[in-house]
Amino acid sequence: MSAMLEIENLSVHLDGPDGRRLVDDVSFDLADGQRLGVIGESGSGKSLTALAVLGLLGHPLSASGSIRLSLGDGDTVDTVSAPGRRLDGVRGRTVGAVFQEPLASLDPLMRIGAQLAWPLRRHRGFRADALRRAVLDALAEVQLPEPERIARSLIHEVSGGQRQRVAIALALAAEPRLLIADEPTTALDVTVQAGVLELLQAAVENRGMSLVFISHDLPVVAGIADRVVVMRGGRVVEIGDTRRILTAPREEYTRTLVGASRALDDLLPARPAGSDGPTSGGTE
Amino acid sequence: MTHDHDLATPVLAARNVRFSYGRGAEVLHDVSLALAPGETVGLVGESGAGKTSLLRLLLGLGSPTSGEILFEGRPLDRRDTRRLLAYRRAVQPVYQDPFSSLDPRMRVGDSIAEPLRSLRLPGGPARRAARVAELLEAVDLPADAGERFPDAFSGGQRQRIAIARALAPEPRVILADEPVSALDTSVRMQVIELFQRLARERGIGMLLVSHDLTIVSALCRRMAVLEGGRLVEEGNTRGVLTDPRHPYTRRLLASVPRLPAL
Repeated sequence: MSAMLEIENLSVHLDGPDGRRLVDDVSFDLADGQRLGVIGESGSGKSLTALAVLGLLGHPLSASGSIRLSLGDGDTVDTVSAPGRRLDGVRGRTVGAVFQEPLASLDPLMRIGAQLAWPLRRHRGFRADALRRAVLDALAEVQLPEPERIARSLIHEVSGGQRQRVAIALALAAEPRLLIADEPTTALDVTVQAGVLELLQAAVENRGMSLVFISHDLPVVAGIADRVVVMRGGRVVEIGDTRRILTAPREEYTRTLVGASRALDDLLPARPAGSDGPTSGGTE
Repeated sequence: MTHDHDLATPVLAARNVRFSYGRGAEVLHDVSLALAPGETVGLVGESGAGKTSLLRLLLGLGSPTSGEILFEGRPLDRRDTRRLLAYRRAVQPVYQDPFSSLDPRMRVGDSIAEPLRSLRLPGGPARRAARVAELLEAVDLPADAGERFPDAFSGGQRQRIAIARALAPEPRVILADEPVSALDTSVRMQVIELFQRLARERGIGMLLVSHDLTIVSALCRRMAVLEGGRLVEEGNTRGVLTDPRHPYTRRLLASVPRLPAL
Protein backbone atom coordinates (compact mmCIF):
# COMPACT_ATOMS: atom_id res chain seq x y z
CA MET A 1 0.00 0.00 0.00
CA SER A 2 1.33 3.45 -0.87
CA ALA A 3 1.77 6.21 1.68
CA MET A 4 -0.84 8.94 1.96
CA LEU A 5 1.21 10.94 4.43
CA GLU A 6 4.84 10.73 5.52
CA ILE A 7 6.02 12.96 8.34
CA GLU A 8 9.78 12.94 8.81
CA ASN A 9 11.65 14.69 11.62
CA LEU A 10 9.01 17.37 12.00
CA SER A 11 9.84 20.06 14.52
CA VAL A 12 7.78 23.15 15.26
CA HIS A 13 9.40 25.95 17.19
CA LEU A 14 8.65 29.46 18.32
CA ASP A 15 10.34 32.14 16.27
CA GLY A 16 12.66 34.56 18.04
CA PRO A 17 15.38 34.23 20.65
CA ASP A 18 13.42 31.80 22.83
CA GLY A 19 13.06 29.33 19.97
CA ARG A 20 11.35 26.75 22.16
CA ARG A 21 10.48 23.49 20.37
CA LEU A 22 6.81 22.67 20.73
CA VAL A 23 6.95 19.68 18.40
CA ASP A 24 10.23 17.83 18.58
CA ASP A 25 11.47 15.47 15.88
CA VAL A 26 8.17 13.78 15.13
CA SER A 27 8.01 11.06 12.47
CA PHE A 28 5.12 8.82 11.46
CA ASP A 29 3.30 7.84 8.34
CA LEU A 30 -0.12 6.86 7.18
CA ALA A 31 -0.92 4.37 4.41
CA ASP A 32 -3.59 5.07 1.82
CA GLY A 33 -7.03 4.37 3.31
CA GLN A 34 -5.72 3.97 6.84
CA ARG A 35 -7.29 5.53 9.93
CA LEU A 36 -4.70 6.87 12.30
CA GLY A 37 -5.42 8.18 15.78
CA VAL A 38 -3.15 10.73 17.43
CA ILE A 39 -3.64 10.75 21.17
CA GLY A 40 -2.14 13.11 23.71
CA GLU A 41 -2.98 15.43 26.56
CA SER A 42 -2.78 19.22 26.57
CA GLY A 43 0.62 20.43 25.39
CA SER A 44 1.44 17.18 23.61
CA GLY A 45 1.88 18.91 20.25
CA LYS A 46 -0.86 16.92 18.52
CA SER A 47 -2.77 19.94 17.21
CA LEU A 48 0.40 21.73 16.04
CA THR A 49 1.32 18.59 14.13
CA ALA A 50 -2.09 18.74 12.43
CA LEU A 51 -1.67 22.41 11.54
CA ALA A 52 1.79 21.66 10.12
CA VAL A 53 0.32 18.94 7.88
CA LEU A 54 -2.19 21.50 6.62
CA GLY A 55 0.56 24.08 6.09
CA LEU A 56 -1.31 26.41 8.42
CA LEU A 57 1.46 27.35 10.82
CA GLY A 58 2.21 31.04 10.71
CA HIS A 59 4.20 33.51 12.71
CA PRO A 60 5.31 33.03 15.51
CA LEU A 61 5.62 29.34 14.62
CA SER A 62 7.97 27.70 12.12
CA ALA A 63 8.33 24.10 11.04
CA SER A 64 11.33 22.10 9.91
CA GLY A 65 11.59 18.56 8.61
CA SER A 66 9.27 17.28 5.92
CA ILE A 67 5.61 16.35 5.52
CA ARG A 68 4.92 14.59 2.23
CA LEU A 69 1.30 14.41 1.16
CA SER A 70 0.37 12.15 -1.74
CA LEU A 71 -1.59 13.94 -4.45
CA GLY A 72 -2.84 10.65 -5.83
CA ASP A 73 -1.20 10.84 -9.24
CA GLY A 74 2.19 9.62 -8.06
CA ASP A 75 3.15 13.18 -7.20
CA THR A 76 3.65 14.50 -3.66
CA VAL A 77 3.80 17.89 -2.02
CA ASP A 78 5.88 18.82 1.02
CA THR A 79 3.66 21.06 3.14
CA VAL A 80 6.61 22.29 5.19
CA SER A 81 8.51 23.78 2.26
CA ALA A 82 5.82 24.36 -0.40
CA PRO A 83 4.93 27.99 -1.12
CA GLY A 84 1.55 29.27 0.09
CA ARG A 85 0.03 29.40 -3.38
CA ARG A 86 0.76 25.75 -3.97
CA LEU A 87 -0.81 24.87 -0.61
CA ASP A 88 -4.02 26.70 -1.52
CA GLY A 89 -4.63 24.03 -4.14
CA VAL A 90 -3.80 21.23 -1.71
CA ARG A 91 -5.98 22.26 1.22
CA GLY A 92 -9.55 21.22 0.64
CA ARG A 93 -8.72 19.27 -2.52
CA THR A 94 -6.14 16.81 -1.12
CA VAL A 95 -6.59 17.27 2.59
CA GLY A 96 -9.71 18.45 4.38
CA ALA A 97 -9.92 19.45 8.02
CA VAL A 98 -12.47 19.52 10.83
CA PHE A 99 -11.63 21.23 14.11
CA GLN A 100 -13.04 21.20 17.63
CA GLU A 101 -14.82 24.49 17.13
CA PRO A 102 -16.89 24.38 13.93
CA LEU A 103 -17.11 28.16 13.84
CA ALA A 104 -13.36 28.23 13.19
CA SER A 105 -13.91 26.98 9.66
CA LEU A 106 -17.27 28.59 8.92
CA ASP A 107 -18.10 32.14 7.90
CA PRO A 108 -20.69 33.67 10.26
CA LEU A 109 -22.03 36.06 7.63
CA MET A 110 -22.47 33.72 4.69
CA ARG A 111 -25.41 31.36 4.25
CA ILE A 112 -24.46 27.72 4.75
CA GLY A 113 -25.44 26.79 1.20
CA ALA A 114 -23.22 29.50 -0.28
CA GLN A 115 -20.24 28.35 1.80
CA LEU A 116 -20.68 24.80 0.60
CA ALA A 117 -21.14 25.91 -3.00
CA TRP A 118 -17.68 27.48 -3.05
CA PRO A 119 -15.55 24.27 -2.96
CA LEU A 120 -18.11 22.33 -5.00
CA ARG A 121 -17.76 24.93 -7.74
CA ARG A 122 -14.04 25.48 -7.52
CA HIS A 123 -12.82 21.91 -7.12
CA ARG A 124 -15.55 19.88 -8.75
CA GLY A 125 -16.82 22.25 -11.40
CA PHE A 126 -20.53 22.19 -10.57
CA ARG A 127 -22.60 25.08 -11.93
CA ALA A 128 -26.22 26.31 -11.78
CA ASP A 129 -28.80 23.58 -11.06
CA ALA A 130 -26.17 20.88 -10.69
CA LEU A 131 -24.43 23.05 -8.08
CA ARG A 132 -27.66 23.56 -6.16
CA ARG A 133 -28.28 19.83 -6.16
CA ALA A 134 -24.70 19.13 -5.07
CA VAL A 135 -25.10 21.51 -2.09
CA LEU A 136 -28.27 19.74 -0.96
CA ASP A 137 -26.66 16.32 -1.48
CA ALA A 138 -23.67 17.37 0.61
CA LEU A 139 -25.97 18.42 3.46
CA ALA A 140 -27.99 15.22 3.16
CA GLU A 141 -24.82 13.12 3.25
CA VAL A 142 -23.99 14.45 6.71
CA GLN A 143 -27.55 13.59 7.73
CA LEU A 144 -28.79 17.09 8.31
CA PRO A 145 -32.57 17.27 8.37
CA GLU A 146 -34.28 19.62 5.91
CA PRO A 147 -31.23 20.40 3.74
CA GLU A 148 -33.11 23.25 1.98
CA ARG A 149 -33.71 25.06 5.24
CA ILE A 150 -30.14 24.50 6.49
CA ALA A 151 -28.72 25.75 3.17
CA ARG A 152 -30.61 29.01 3.63
CA SER A 153 -29.53 29.39 7.28
CA LEU A 154 -26.65 31.28 8.80
CA ILE A 155 -24.39 29.20 10.99
CA HIS A 156 -25.59 30.68 14.28
CA GLU A 157 -29.12 29.61 13.39
CA VAL A 158 -28.31 25.90 13.74
CA SER A 159 -27.31 23.85 16.82
CA GLY A 160 -23.76 22.91 17.86
CA GLY A 161 -24.04 19.37 16.55
CA GLN A 162 -25.52 20.58 13.27
CA ARG A 163 -22.69 23.12 12.91
CA GLN A 164 -20.14 20.36 13.21
CA ARG A 165 -22.04 18.37 10.56
CA VAL A 166 -21.90 21.43 8.29
CA ALA A 167 -18.15 21.75 8.95
CA ILE A 168 -17.73 18.08 8.02
CA ALA A 169 -19.77 18.59 4.83
CA LEU A 170 -17.49 21.52 3.98
CA ALA A 171 -14.35 19.47 4.66
CA LEU A 172 -15.67 16.66 2.43
CA ALA A 173 -16.97 18.89 -0.37
CA ALA A 174 -13.85 18.83 -2.52
CA GLU A 175 -13.49 15.04 -2.03
CA PRO A 176 -10.13 15.13 -0.26
CA ARG A 177 -8.03 11.98 -0.06
CA LEU A 178 -7.18 12.69 3.57
CA LEU A 179 -9.34 14.09 6.35
CA ILE A 180 -7.75 15.58 9.45
CA ALA A 181 -10.17 15.71 12.37
CA ASP A 182 -8.77 17.55 15.40
CA GLU A 183 -10.93 16.92 18.50
CA PRO A 184 -14.03 17.11 16.27
CA THR A 185 -16.43 15.95 18.97
CA THR A 186 -14.83 17.33 22.13
CA ALA A 187 -17.17 20.32 22.39
CA LEU A 188 -20.29 18.23 21.72
CA ASP A 189 -22.72 16.54 24.06
CA VAL A 190 -22.12 12.83 24.42
CA THR A 191 -25.27 11.79 22.53
CA VAL A 192 -24.43 14.24 19.74
CA GLN A 193 -20.82 13.04 19.73
CA ALA A 194 -22.00 9.48 19.12
CA GLY A 195 -23.87 10.58 15.99
CA VAL A 196 -20.99 12.67 14.63
CA LEU A 197 -18.51 9.81 15.18
CA GLU A 198 -20.80 7.44 13.31
CA LEU A 199 -21.04 9.96 10.50
CA LEU A 200 -17.26 10.42 10.26
CA GLN A 201 -16.73 6.69 10.23
CA ALA A 202 -19.30 6.19 7.47
CA ALA A 203 -17.90 9.05 5.37
CA VAL A 204 -14.34 7.71 5.60
CA GLU A 205 -15.48 4.19 4.70
CA ASN A 206 -17.76 5.18 1.82
CA ARG A 207 -15.18 7.44 0.21
CA GLY A 208 -12.13 5.29 0.93
CA MET A 209 -10.49 8.31 2.52
CA SER A 210 -7.54 8.27 4.89
CA LEU A 211 -8.13 9.75 8.31
CA VAL A 212 -5.99 11.39 10.97
CA PHE A 213 -8.13 11.60 14.08
CA ILE A 214 -6.68 13.70 16.89
CA SER A 215 -8.06 13.46 20.41
CA HIS A 216 -7.29 13.44 24.11
CA ASP A 217 -9.94 10.76 24.56
CA LEU A 218 -8.62 7.22 24.22
CA PRO A 219 -12.00 5.44 24.04
CA VAL A 220 -13.04 7.74 21.18
CA VAL A 221 -9.78 7.13 19.31
CA ALA A 222 -9.98 3.38 19.95
CA GLY A 223 -13.40 3.32 18.33
CA ILE A 224 -12.29 4.89 15.06
CA ALA A 225 -8.55 4.31 14.45
CA ASP A 226 -6.67 1.21 13.24
CA ARG A 227 -3.36 2.59 14.45
CA VAL A 228 -2.44 5.02 17.20
CA VAL A 229 0.36 7.52 17.70
CA VAL A 230 0.84 8.51 21.35
CA MET A 231 2.31 11.99 21.84
CA ARG A 232 3.58 13.80 24.90
CA GLY A 233 5.43 17.08 25.36
CA GLY A 234 5.91 17.49 21.61
CA ARG A 235 7.36 14.03 21.03
CA VAL A 236 6.11 10.70 19.80
CA VAL A 237 6.06 8.26 22.70
CA GLU A 238 4.81 5.17 20.93
CA ILE A 239 3.18 4.04 17.69
CA GLY A 240 1.26 0.82 17.21
CA ASP A 241 -1.91 -0.96 16.18
CA THR A 242 -4.82 0.21 18.31
CA ARG A 243 -5.37 -3.19 19.86
CA ARG A 244 -1.70 -3.63 20.73
CA ILE A 245 -1.51 -0.15 22.30
CA LEU A 246 -4.56 -0.94 24.43
CA THR A 247 -3.53 -4.41 25.50
CA ALA A 248 0.28 -4.27 25.57
CA PRO A 249 1.56 -0.70 25.78
CA ARG A 250 5.36 -0.66 25.78
CA GLU A 251 6.17 2.77 27.13
CA GLU A 252 5.60 3.91 30.69
CA TYR A 253 3.55 6.94 29.63
CA THR A 254 1.29 4.88 27.37
CA ARG A 255 0.75 2.45 30.25
CA THR A 256 -0.29 5.37 32.49
CA LEU A 257 -2.65 6.74 29.86
CA VAL A 258 -4.23 3.38 29.05
CA GLY A 259 -4.42 2.55 32.76
CA ALA A 260 -6.21 5.82 33.58
CA SER A 261 -8.65 5.37 30.67
CA ARG A 262 -9.30 1.78 31.71
CA ALA A 263 -9.88 2.83 35.33
CA LEU A 264 -12.40 5.46 34.20
CA ASP A 265 -14.08 2.97 31.86
CA ASP A 266 -14.35 0.41 34.65
CA LEU A 267 -16.39 2.87 36.70
CA LEU A 268 -19.32 2.17 34.42
CA PRO A 269 -21.06 -1.20 34.33
CA ALA A 270 -20.00 -3.45 31.47
CA ARG A 271 -22.04 -2.81 28.37
CA PRO A 272 -24.60 -5.56 27.90
CA ALA A 273 -23.88 -7.86 24.94
CA GLY A 274 -25.47 -6.80 21.67
CA SER A 275 -25.57 -3.09 22.44
CA ASP A 276 -22.14 -1.87 21.48
CA GLY A 277 -23.26 1.45 20.10
CA PRO A 278 -25.87 4.11 20.36
CA THR A 279 -28.92 3.98 18.21
CA SER A 280 -28.80 6.97 15.94
CA GLY A 281 -31.51 9.50 15.37
CA GLY A 282 -30.92 11.83 18.28
CA THR A 283 -31.91 15.45 18.40
CA GLU A 284 -29.12 17.98 18.18
CA MET B 1 -18.37 16.73 62.79
CA THR B 2 -18.87 19.40 65.39
CA HIS B 3 -22.28 20.38 64.10
CA ASP B 4 -25.38 18.93 65.55
CA HIS B 5 -27.81 18.51 62.70
CA ASP B 6 -31.07 16.77 62.17
CA LEU B 7 -30.20 13.70 60.11
CA ALA B 8 -33.64 13.34 58.58
CA THR B 9 -33.98 16.84 57.13
CA PRO B 10 -32.37 17.32 53.72
CA VAL B 11 -29.54 19.84 53.84
CA LEU B 12 -30.60 21.27 50.55
CA ALA B 13 -33.67 20.72 48.42
CA ALA B 14 -35.49 22.06 45.41
CA ARG B 15 -39.25 21.74 45.71
CA ASN B 16 -41.45 22.02 42.60
CA VAL B 17 -39.02 24.47 41.09
CA ARG B 18 -39.84 26.26 37.87
CA PHE B 19 -37.48 28.76 36.36
CA SER B 20 -37.09 30.99 33.34
CA TYR B 21 -34.55 33.68 32.55
CA GLY B 22 -36.44 36.96 32.37
CA ARG B 23 -39.45 36.52 30.13
CA GLY B 24 -37.77 33.72 28.20
CA ALA B 25 -39.05 30.17 27.87
CA GLU B 26 -39.18 28.06 31.01
CA VAL B 27 -35.93 26.08 31.48
CA LEU B 28 -36.91 24.08 34.58
CA HIS B 29 -40.32 22.45 34.74
CA ASP B 30 -41.42 21.43 38.22
CA VAL B 31 -38.15 19.96 39.43
CA SER B 32 -37.87 18.46 42.92
CA LEU B 33 -34.61 17.11 44.28
CA ALA B 34 -33.40 16.65 47.86
CA LEU B 35 -29.96 16.07 49.29
CA ALA B 36 -29.87 14.30 52.65
CA PRO B 37 -26.94 14.92 55.05
CA GLY B 38 -23.82 13.19 53.74
CA GLU B 39 -25.60 12.02 50.62
CA THR B 40 -23.91 12.04 47.21
CA VAL B 41 -26.20 12.76 44.28
CA GLY B 42 -25.34 13.07 40.62
CA LEU B 43 -27.36 15.38 38.42
CA VAL B 44 -26.84 14.26 34.85
CA GLY B 45 -27.81 15.97 31.65
CA GLU B 46 -26.52 17.56 28.46
CA SER B 47 -26.32 21.16 27.34
CA GLY B 48 -29.62 22.93 27.66
CA ALA B 49 -31.02 20.36 30.10
CA GLY B 50 -31.18 22.98 32.85
CA LYS B 51 -28.60 21.49 35.21
CA THR B 52 -26.54 24.66 35.54
CA SER B 53 -29.73 26.69 36.07
CA LEU B 54 -30.76 24.34 38.88
CA LEU B 55 -27.28 24.53 40.38
CA ARG B 56 -27.38 28.33 40.32
CA LEU B 57 -30.69 28.31 42.17
CA LEU B 58 -29.33 25.89 44.76
CA LEU B 59 -26.34 28.21 45.22
CA GLY B 60 -28.69 31.12 45.82
CA LEU B 61 -27.63 32.90 42.64
CA GLY B 62 -31.21 33.51 41.61
CA SER B 63 -34.74 32.69 42.70
CA PRO B 64 -37.13 30.15 41.20
CA THR B 65 -40.03 31.55 39.18
CA SER B 66 -42.17 29.30 41.33
CA GLY B 67 -41.46 26.61 43.89
CA GLU B 68 -38.82 26.79 46.59
CA ILE B 69 -35.22 26.17 47.47
CA LEU B 70 -35.04 24.77 51.00
CA PHE B 71 -31.99 24.93 53.22
CA GLU B 72 -32.22 22.61 56.23
CA GLY B 73 -35.93 22.26 55.64
CA ARG B 74 -36.88 25.91 55.38
CA PRO B 75 -37.06 28.29 52.43
CA LEU B 76 -34.23 30.77 52.11
CA ASP B 77 -35.17 34.30 53.03
CA ARG B 78 -32.76 36.86 51.59
CA ARG B 79 -33.47 39.28 54.43
CA ASP B 80 -32.48 36.79 57.12
CA THR B 81 -28.75 37.59 57.00
CA ARG B 82 -27.78 35.23 59.84
CA ARG B 83 -29.37 32.27 58.14
CA LEU B 84 -27.97 33.32 54.80
CA LEU B 85 -24.49 33.30 56.32
CA ALA B 86 -25.07 29.82 57.77
CA TYR B 87 -26.24 28.69 54.34
CA ARG B 88 -23.18 30.11 52.61
CA ARG B 89 -20.91 28.32 55.06
CA ALA B 90 -22.78 25.06 54.61
CA VAL B 91 -23.02 25.05 50.81
CA GLN B 92 -19.80 25.48 48.85
CA PRO B 93 -19.25 25.36 45.09
CA VAL B 94 -16.49 23.83 42.99
CA TYR B 95 -16.48 24.87 39.35
CA GLN B 96 -15.38 23.28 36.09
CA ASP B 97 -12.54 25.54 35.04
CA PRO B 98 -9.65 25.56 37.50
CA PHE B 99 -7.98 28.28 35.42
CA SER B 100 -10.69 30.87 35.97
CA SER B 101 -11.98 30.02 39.44
CA LEU B 102 -8.86 31.26 41.30
CA ASP B 103 -7.73 34.87 41.48
CA PRO B 104 -4.38 34.93 39.63
CA ARG B 105 -3.08 37.82 41.77
CA MET B 106 -3.76 36.15 45.09
CA ARG B 107 -1.41 33.72 46.81
CA VAL B 108 -2.97 30.27 46.98
CA GLY B 109 -2.97 30.34 50.79
CA ASP B 110 -4.91 33.61 50.78
CA SER B 111 -7.40 32.23 48.26
CA ILE B 112 -8.02 29.22 50.47
CA ALA B 113 -8.37 31.39 53.59
CA GLU B 114 -10.64 33.92 51.88
CA PRO B 115 -13.95 32.16 52.72
CA LEU B 116 -12.90 32.03 56.40
CA ARG B 117 -12.73 35.81 56.41
CA SER B 118 -15.68 36.61 54.19
CA LEU B 119 -17.95 34.12 55.96
CA ARG B 120 -16.82 35.62 59.29
CA LEU B 121 -15.58 32.40 60.81
CA PRO B 122 -13.77 32.88 64.11
CA GLY B 123 -9.97 32.90 64.33
CA GLY B 124 -7.05 35.25 63.79
CA PRO B 125 -4.18 35.05 61.28
CA ALA B 126 -2.36 32.24 63.14
CA ARG B 127 -5.42 30.05 63.27
CA ARG B 128 -6.19 30.75 59.63
CA ALA B 129 -2.64 29.81 58.62
CA ALA B 130 -2.92 26.53 60.52
CA ARG B 131 -6.23 25.86 58.81
CA VAL B 132 -4.73 26.53 55.36
CA ALA B 133 -1.90 24.08 56.10
CA GLU B 134 -4.41 21.47 57.18
CA LEU B 135 -6.53 22.00 54.05
CA LEU B 136 -3.52 21.77 51.72
CA GLU B 137 -2.65 18.48 53.34
CA ALA B 138 -6.24 17.25 52.97
CA VAL B 139 -6.01 17.71 49.20
CA ASP B 140 -2.47 16.29 48.93
CA LEU B 141 -0.67 19.52 48.12
CA PRO B 142 2.72 20.40 49.62
CA ALA B 143 2.72 22.78 52.60
CA ASP B 144 4.61 25.50 50.70
CA ALA B 145 1.91 25.61 47.98
CA GLY B 146 0.17 28.36 49.96
CA GLU B 147 3.01 30.80 49.27
CA ARG B 148 2.75 30.47 45.50
CA PHE B 149 0.44 31.94 42.88
CA PRO B 150 -2.06 29.88 40.83
CA ASP B 151 0.06 30.05 37.65
CA ALA B 152 2.63 27.80 39.32
CA PHE B 153 0.15 24.92 39.28
CA SER B 154 -1.24 22.47 36.71
CA GLY B 155 -4.97 22.10 36.04
CA GLY B 156 -5.28 19.13 38.40
CA GLN B 157 -3.42 20.94 41.17
CA ARG B 158 -5.56 24.04 40.73
CA GLN B 159 -8.67 21.92 41.06
CA ARG B 160 -7.25 20.61 44.36
CA ILE B 161 -6.74 24.21 45.48
CA ALA B 162 -10.35 25.03 44.56
CA ILE B 163 -11.48 22.00 46.57
CA ALA B 164 -9.37 23.06 49.58
CA ARG B 165 -11.00 26.48 49.37
CA ALA B 166 -14.47 24.93 49.26
CA LEU B 167 -13.63 22.82 52.32
CA ALA B 168 -12.40 25.82 54.34
CA PRO B 169 -15.71 26.74 56.04
CA GLU B 170 -16.44 23.05 56.82
CA PRO B 171 -19.43 22.85 54.49
CA ARG B 172 -22.14 20.25 54.80
CA VAL B 173 -22.51 20.06 51.03
CA ILE B 174 -20.29 20.64 48.03
CA LEU B 175 -21.99 21.57 44.78
CA ALA B 176 -19.59 20.60 42.03
CA ASP B 177 -20.19 21.62 38.43
CA GLU B 178 -18.29 19.34 36.01
CA PRO B 179 -15.27 19.31 38.34
CA VAL B 180 -13.08 17.01 36.24
CA SER B 181 -14.30 17.74 32.70
CA ALA B 182 -11.48 20.20 31.97
CA LEU B 183 -8.75 17.87 33.25
CA ASP B 184 -6.52 15.48 31.33
CA THR B 185 -7.39 11.79 31.59
CA SER B 186 -4.35 10.96 33.71
CA VAL B 187 -5.27 13.46 36.46
CA ARG B 188 -9.04 13.00 36.23
CA MET B 189 -8.95 9.75 38.19
CA GLN B 190 -6.79 11.33 40.92
CA VAL B 191 -9.29 14.15 41.49
CA ILE B 192 -12.15 11.64 41.51
CA GLU B 193 -10.30 9.65 44.17
CA LEU B 194 -9.81 12.82 46.22
CA PHE B 195 -13.57 13.50 46.16
CA GLN B 196 -14.24 9.88 47.11
CA ARG B 197 -11.95 10.18 50.11
CA LEU B 198 -13.43 13.50 51.24
CA ALA B 199 -16.97 12.13 51.08
CA ARG B 200 -15.91 9.04 52.99
CA GLU B 201 -13.73 10.64 55.65
CA ARG B 202 -15.58 13.89 56.26
CA GLY B 203 -19.14 12.82 55.55
CA ILE B 204 -19.63 15.80 53.27
CA GLY B 205 -22.64 15.60 51.01
CA MET B 206 -22.19 16.28 47.35
CA LEU B 207 -24.34 17.32 44.45
CA LEU B 208 -22.35 16.64 41.35
CA VAL B 209 -23.56 18.19 38.13
CA SER B 210 -22.11 16.50 35.09
CA HIS B 211 -22.72 15.19 31.63
CA ASP B 212 -20.21 12.46 32.44
CA LEU B 213 -21.75 9.25 33.72
CA THR B 214 -18.31 7.93 34.64
CA ILE B 215 -17.67 10.39 37.45
CA VAL B 216 -21.27 10.15 38.64
CA SER B 217 -20.89 6.40 38.82
CA ALA B 218 -17.71 6.79 40.87
CA LEU B 219 -18.94 9.40 43.31
CA CYS B 220 -22.70 9.32 43.67
CA ARG B 221 -24.95 6.80 45.36
CA ARG B 222 -28.01 8.33 43.80
CA MET B 223 -28.49 9.96 40.43
CA ALA B 224 -31.09 12.05 38.67
CA VAL B 225 -31.34 12.57 34.93
CA LEU B 226 -32.43 15.94 33.63
CA GLU B 227 -33.66 16.29 30.05
CA GLY B 228 -35.14 19.47 28.64
CA GLY B 229 -35.71 20.92 32.12
CA ARG B 230 -37.50 17.85 33.49
CA LEU B 231 -36.26 15.09 35.78
CA VAL B 232 -36.90 12.00 33.68
CA GLU B 233 -35.32 9.36 35.90
CA GLU B 234 -34.03 9.14 39.44
CA GLY B 235 -32.71 6.35 41.57
CA ASN B 236 -29.80 4.45 43.00
CA THR B 237 -26.85 5.01 40.63
CA ARG B 238 -25.96 1.33 40.22
CA GLY B 239 -29.61 0.55 39.45
CA VAL B 240 -30.05 3.33 36.92
CA LEU B 241 -26.79 2.49 35.14
CA THR B 242 -27.40 -1.24 34.94
CA ASP B 243 -31.11 -1.01 34.18
CA PRO B 244 -32.00 2.43 32.82
CA ARG B 245 -35.75 2.87 32.43
CA HIS B 246 -36.17 6.10 30.52
CA PRO B 247 -35.29 6.05 26.79
CA TYR B 248 -33.15 9.18 27.20
CA THR B 249 -31.11 7.59 30.01
CA ARG B 250 -30.62 4.56 27.79
CA ARG B 251 -29.43 6.68 24.91
CA LEU B 252 -27.10 8.65 27.15
CA LEU B 253 -25.55 5.47 28.51
CA ALA B 254 -25.22 3.90 25.07
CA SER B 255 -23.48 7.03 23.75
CA VAL B 256 -20.56 6.90 26.19
CA PRO B 257 -17.47 5.92 24.20
CA ARG B 258 -16.10 2.73 25.74
CA LEU B 259 -12.79 0.94 25.47
CA PRO B 260 -13.10 -2.43 23.77
CA ALA B 261 -13.44 -5.20 26.33
CA LEU B 262 -10.20 -7.09 26.96
